[in-house]
Amino acid sequence: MAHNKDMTMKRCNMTTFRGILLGIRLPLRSLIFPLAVAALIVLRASPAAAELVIDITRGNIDPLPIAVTPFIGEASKEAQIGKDISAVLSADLERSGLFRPIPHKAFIQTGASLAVRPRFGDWRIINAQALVQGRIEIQESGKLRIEFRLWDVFAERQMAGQAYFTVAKNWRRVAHIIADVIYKRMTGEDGYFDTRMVYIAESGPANKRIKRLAIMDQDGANHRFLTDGQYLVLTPRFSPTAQEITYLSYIGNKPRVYIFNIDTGQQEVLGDFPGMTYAPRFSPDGNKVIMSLATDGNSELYSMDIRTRTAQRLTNNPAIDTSPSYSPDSQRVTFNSDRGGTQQIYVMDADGDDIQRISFGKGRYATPVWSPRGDYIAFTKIKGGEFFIGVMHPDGSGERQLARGFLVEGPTWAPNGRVLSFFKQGKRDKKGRGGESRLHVIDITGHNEREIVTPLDASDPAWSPLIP
Amino acid sequence: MIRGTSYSALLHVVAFLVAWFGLPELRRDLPMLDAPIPVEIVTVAEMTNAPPPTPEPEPEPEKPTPPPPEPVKPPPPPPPAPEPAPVPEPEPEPEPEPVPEPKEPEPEPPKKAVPPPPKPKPAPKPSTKPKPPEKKVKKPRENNLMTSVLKTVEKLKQKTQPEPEKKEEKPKKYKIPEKLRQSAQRPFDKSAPMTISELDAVARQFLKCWNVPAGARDAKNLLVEISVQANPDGTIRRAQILNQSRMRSDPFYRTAAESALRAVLNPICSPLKLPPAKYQRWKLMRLKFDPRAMFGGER
Repeated sequence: MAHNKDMTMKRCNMTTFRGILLGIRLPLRSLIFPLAVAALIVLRASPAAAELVIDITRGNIDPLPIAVTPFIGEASKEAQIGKDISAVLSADLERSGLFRPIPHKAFIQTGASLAVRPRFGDWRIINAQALVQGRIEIQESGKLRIEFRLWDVFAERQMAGQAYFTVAKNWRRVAHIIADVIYKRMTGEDGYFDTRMVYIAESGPANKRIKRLAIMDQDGANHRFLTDGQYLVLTPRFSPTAQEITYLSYIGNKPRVYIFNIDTGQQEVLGDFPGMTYAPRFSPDGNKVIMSLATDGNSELYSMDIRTRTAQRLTNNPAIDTSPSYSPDSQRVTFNSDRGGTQQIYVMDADGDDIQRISFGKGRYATPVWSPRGDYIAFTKIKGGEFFIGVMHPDGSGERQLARGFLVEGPTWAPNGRVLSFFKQGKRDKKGRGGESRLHVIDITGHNEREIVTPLDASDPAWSPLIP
Repeated sequence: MIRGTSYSALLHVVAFLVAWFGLPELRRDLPMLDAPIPVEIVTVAEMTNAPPPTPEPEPEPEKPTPPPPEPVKPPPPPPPAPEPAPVPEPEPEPEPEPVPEPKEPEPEPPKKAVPPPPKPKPAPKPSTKPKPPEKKVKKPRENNLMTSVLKTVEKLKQKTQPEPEKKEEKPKKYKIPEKLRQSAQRPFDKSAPMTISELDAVARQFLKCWNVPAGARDAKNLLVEISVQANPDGTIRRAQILNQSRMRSDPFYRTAAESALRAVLNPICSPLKLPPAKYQRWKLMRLKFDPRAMFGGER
């Protein structure tokens, strides 16, 4: 430092200045050492006072241990409903793959004492990070009063708490609704447990297959058939806003797109087109259906306003354009086209402008579906004789494969955009054994693939929005 | 003829040389591309904690006297002779630090400086290696060191006389504790920066208790900072999420922050594995929970 000072002083041209500087040169020099020492001391001391910062960049993605206690009820009937609700709730959380319900046998605190206040120490011991506790009351009117609380065991705080009044037979839905509340509170993401699924139930020999439209809760309960199997039904899609389904049916041997109202059981054809209409899907606001229309061997995309029944042509290309799906803001549409030579995924504006190809990997891509939260497009991919379910961002980046198999197809999003369902068919051997087709769900991370148990073979699942 | 053969020979030689060395043009190397290599400068425990030159003088004076005796009286036999004098000395000195020693024999010599006076546990590490020489040295020294050692010993006695049981061990390690104490008393040890391995140990500890919000939207932007006050034993006295306003406005951030807070409060991660000697350094901490590395493939 001293040397530097000298240098700068030498460069100084003004002699008068120089003289002044020289005048203070000695004291400066003698001061430099003590100053340096003082600076060092300060520097040393300051870090000691500062906070230590530790970067933690690795955690685990193990499911969160959660204790779901049986909801308390005084009368035996109440207690039974409490147990049932707790079981449904627990199964919902477990199936999400994000929670690990702790077995009841491990519980230290049980019974009515829970209703007062949890003994958090007892729950910490069994490493429950969250605790669900609730109570059931059957009121004089016969209605159920169901209340629950969600506790953060480590912070000893209540995270959520609500009460519901409902008719007794509705207890299962309340369990799903509570599961949604817990899911949302713990993940920040909307839940998807209070939802239903429609799918195509298949039975009979391969050459005389009966395909029926069926509906069930997302956990497989409350299963029922919507059509009798007289006509072939394909590609059902749920309306995002109403209890309506659109699908392709071969009534009168004419493949047409129909709309079906679940509550009324009414079915009607959508539009009167000269050719075959297929691959329908609702717009996010539920007011339009976008689909393919095939005439003279050429498929183009059309959107149709359900109320006015007016159709708008979106593409004009000699290639096959199909499987359209709106983005959640209805501004863009992703679809499948072989205009580039092979089947690939494209996106365009909702009016058909600005068409861009987004899939560039090896293999063929099909059935793109835009995620309800907008960040991904799910698709089916065929490569090397194998099928894959994958996701990519809407600009084509970040392609990932989630599931693979002899035949996996037909991805559909849960309303929160975190979970996908699809169907998976095994390979049939020479004797015709195997080849069962089943519905599966998988997390968007590619973990936690589960089968949804259905009474018959199942294909083409479609996930409903949260039930209003 | 001669011309022909000489041409032939010349050509052969040229051909040979070309074959041997190659044509400069033919062998031109492809230019190497300079790939930037990121270098991170980290503090390694051994370096930062190494005691300054000052400690060295201490051993030197001692050694002059002991060296001769060493060969003469190598192992245990000598003890009996000096017994009267040594008895008082060894007891007090070893007491403070030797106790924990048996637990951890591994460590390296550099750490000697690290262990400060408050916590005898770290001290044992260095002691293991030096042990053999010490044994020999101690007894001969006694006479010379008597006075100086006694003074320190007395002080120590007053401070710590908890464990009288391990008399045998004490004599062996008796010399090291002194050094350690001295180095520990130096202010520089207390403020020695945390080393990368010490920080890493804590970060690794959280692997077990931090449930990362996997698959959450925008998981890359969910950096959570938690301010922590720790007790000297590594347990958490107070933990607080720093960005409270975002907690209120962003449900994703709230769940991420709460998961980080749960990790801090998780009994599995308590106490934190921090060097007790550097308590002043880590009694206040900011833990940054950053899930980015875990979602490298996502945007």
